[in-house]
Amino acid sequence: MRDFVARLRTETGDPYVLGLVRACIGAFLFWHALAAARELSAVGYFGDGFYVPFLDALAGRAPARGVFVGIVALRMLLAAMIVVGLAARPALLGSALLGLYVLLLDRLQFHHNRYSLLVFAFLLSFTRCDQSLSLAAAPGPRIESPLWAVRLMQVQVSLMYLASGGSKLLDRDWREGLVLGDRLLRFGEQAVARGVPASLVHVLQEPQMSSALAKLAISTELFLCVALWLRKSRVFALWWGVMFHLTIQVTSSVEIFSWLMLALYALFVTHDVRARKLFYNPRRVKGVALGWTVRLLDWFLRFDVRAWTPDEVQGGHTIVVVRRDGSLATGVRALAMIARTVPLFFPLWAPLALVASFTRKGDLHTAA
Amino acid sequence: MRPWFAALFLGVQGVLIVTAARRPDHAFGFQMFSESTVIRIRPFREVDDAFGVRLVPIDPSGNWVSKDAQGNALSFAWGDRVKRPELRIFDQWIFAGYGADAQLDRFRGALSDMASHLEGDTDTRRLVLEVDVKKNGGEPFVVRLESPYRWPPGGANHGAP
Repeated sequence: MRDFVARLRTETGDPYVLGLVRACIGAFLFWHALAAARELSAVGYFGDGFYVPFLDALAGRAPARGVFVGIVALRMLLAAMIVVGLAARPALLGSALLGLYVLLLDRLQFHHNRYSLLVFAFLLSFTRCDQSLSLAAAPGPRIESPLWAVRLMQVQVSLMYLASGGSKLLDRDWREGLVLGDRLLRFGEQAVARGVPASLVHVLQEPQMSSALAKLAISTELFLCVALWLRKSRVFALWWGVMFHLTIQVTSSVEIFSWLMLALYALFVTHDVRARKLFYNPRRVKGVALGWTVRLLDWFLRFDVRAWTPDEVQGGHTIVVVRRDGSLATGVRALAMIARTVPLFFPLWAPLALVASFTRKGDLHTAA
Repeated sequence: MRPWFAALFLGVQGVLIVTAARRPDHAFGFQMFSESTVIRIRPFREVDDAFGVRLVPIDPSGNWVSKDAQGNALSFAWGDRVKRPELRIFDQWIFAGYGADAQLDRFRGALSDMASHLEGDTDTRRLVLEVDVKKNGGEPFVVRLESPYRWPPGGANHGAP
């Protein structure tokens, strides 16, 4: 704990990845503001009818319709500014406060994912998230920036898992699988419509299976709240979390919650840039394709991607990855390394790593 | 300064999470998918006329006709006050996303709000909702929600409200 407090004071890192998280959160804020505008047009202004403020002090104090229209428009503008990085930090703060104001005015509009998004937008405004992927970023290299607010965001992620998993653990219906079983029965068709095989859905709807799944879901949330912090378990925790949220996404309606959590996982990557190298053979089509694919999709800038002229050591390989510690990986281990660091390929990491663990053939370092 | 800010922020989050169970919708508590509950609402008006005190069903569309002090017909619609789609569906099973307590609390509020906006209606003493609840796949049970009386029971309505 003392170490954590000390790190809050002094720790710094490359803020590149924060620009990415900022753009995602801006897009989610825009999506929500757009939904509010659509609702205004389709359902009408909530202040003209029945609404429930969180605080008695706000009862009967909804702004005039015109003012609320202005608030929605401002939220859209601020969200767009966040995405492109124009005055992004004040825009994040303004967006969070305006969103919280609306939620406090009318708890009928409350959703966990909306509140979570606003909390993270608030915390992100205290980071140097405007130094990358930003129209307003100063030219030249990025400056190492304090990470205290990033650590707070990580703690918030863990708190959410703890609260969610803990409340389920304390609820007998949840522990026994009754809640999950009933949800699977009710939303099974929706899952099938989203591509989940009907036979799998039917199996999951069996009481024994939903009971086992409930225990797995509770364990997963409690595991994630701790394992994301431990260096040895972090990559597996991130992969397991990605699978967990993608499963939720196809089986439930959670607005942007799954994508928000996946974007926040970027906060748990080590804050360094181009600390690994990827060499590819420019004389092989596969090598060129892999090199360019990684260049295009390496959103965290983990790799320094270069073509090399094959020599007697590297001549037999299409790609060679130089890890952070200087060790080399080729073949399936190199692919596992790419999957581990390139977000779109990350779901493939665990199966590739499992295959790689059975062979040392592709690893120059250990084979030597 | 940073540790103090962090302590304050985390303290507030902790209090909100620990106290979430006290709020019907468990707001700010991150209790995702806390229930799997469906409810079905049947709306009524309670009137006191020549036939005595009785419940008159309201059409599932949420529209009804009442009377003013002169006996003229007055039209009302639930949707005039209650805009949220999930609070306007009657006589159908609907999923209560945030659980039975949250949905019942919201309907209780909507009922009182609607009853307090029946301007000129001297026929409707109060509004009543009968709610069928099925929680986590269990047996259904009925909850009755009542708005406050619009005038004292047994008393005459002198054109209230």
